[in-house]
Amino acid sequence: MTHPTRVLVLEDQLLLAFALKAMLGENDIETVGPFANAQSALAALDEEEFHFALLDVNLGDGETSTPVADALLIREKPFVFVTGYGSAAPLPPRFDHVDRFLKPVNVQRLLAAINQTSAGVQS
Amino acid sequence: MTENDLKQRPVADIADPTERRIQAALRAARIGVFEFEPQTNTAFWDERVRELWGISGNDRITYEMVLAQVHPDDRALHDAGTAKALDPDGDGRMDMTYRVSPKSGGPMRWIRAEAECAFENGIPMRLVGTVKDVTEQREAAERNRLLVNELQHRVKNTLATAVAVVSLSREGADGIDTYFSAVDERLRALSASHDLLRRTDWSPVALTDLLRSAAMTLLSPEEYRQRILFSGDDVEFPAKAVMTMGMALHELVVNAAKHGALSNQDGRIDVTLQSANGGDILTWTESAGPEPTEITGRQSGFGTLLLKEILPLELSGKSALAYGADGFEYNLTVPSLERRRA
Repeated sequence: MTHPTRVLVLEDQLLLAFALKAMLGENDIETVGPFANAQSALAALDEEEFHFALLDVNLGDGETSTPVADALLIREKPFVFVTGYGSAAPLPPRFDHVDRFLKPVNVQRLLAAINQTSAGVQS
Repeated sequence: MTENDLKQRPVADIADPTERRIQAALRAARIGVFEFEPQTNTAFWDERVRELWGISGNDRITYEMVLAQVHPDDRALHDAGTAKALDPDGDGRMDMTYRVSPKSGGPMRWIRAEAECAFENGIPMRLVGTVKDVTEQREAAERNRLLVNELQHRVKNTLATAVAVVSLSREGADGIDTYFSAVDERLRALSASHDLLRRTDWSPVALTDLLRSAAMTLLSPEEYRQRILFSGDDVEFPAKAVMTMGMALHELVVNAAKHGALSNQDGRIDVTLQSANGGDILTWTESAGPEPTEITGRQSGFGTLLLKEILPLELSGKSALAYGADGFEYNLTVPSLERRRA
């Protein structure tokens, strides 16, 4: 029996988050969240089952998603960053290998990234 | 005339009119004058340069003393700029901007140094030029850079929000014309919220301003006064929540105009905001409208999503939609909001 791919979404701009959720849904991908801040996303990491995560870098009020990214690295969960800043995003070098998506997100590229990393999980 | 004469005599006492004029002009423009002899490693400074470097007295000034007050990160730049000016094969020009911390203490300053070198038989003899404190210009340029950055960020976010609206409006749309008019109205609502934010310079926006802005897209000022009645405390929504709140109120107004209390001649809407249980409750109550029905048609997708899920999550609250006997009702319970400042 195959389970649907589940993607955790951390994005403080909720219209964007729900548009993302709708887009994922159209492609038979379930959304965990969306979460608007790092704290609520962190709390969900061990409670919810998911295969992949989309992390908005800047979460408002100076908060970033790096604590969640670190927690995902430890759990060896694949994830990508989504950012409105482009290469100027203030991300530490330890995330250099992590893929980045500029807003508005290119849906086909994002789906490819999700399918690539979650293919092993589903089979 | 020696360097010492220059700095000790008041400008008014200088006999030569041309010299007096130059000194007065340099003082007025706060420009310091220096000369550097590379062959003896000796610099001659006027009062203004001494002041900027925070070095007083008549000690011989060497290149090392000049460099010691330059910010460590700018020393390589200073070395390269100087070497370039002293290069007999170059143009002999120096023009560089770097940071200096006065030896006597005090805040770091940005300095622009411009000079020209005189050569004799291919040997650099005298580098003569000026220094000027350009800290204010640098800070203004930095503020500008940050503003442009912030603007870029907001433009990107606004475009991303517009893309989200375009995408989310598909649900419930039953044809290209209804889809287009729904997207068109929503982008206008987004734009109206943007205007409010611009007016407050991205500070919190009052509930009544958002309500009026949403209502005015469909109602005349007269109709607004008669048919939408606000009571309770006026509160302010943080800038981050203004777009969502503005669009949610827009959806409520549009729903009322299509199916609810604004779709006939007599209906009215009571909007209240009251504190309760340590938080605030916003209520939207329609009455004397046509028989309420479940929101149908193109408004069901986006409007319901916004009111039921997005707005409560944005404001860390809870929402309830109900179709009472008198009309549609919407309640939003949120943590306590700031009261509107006078």
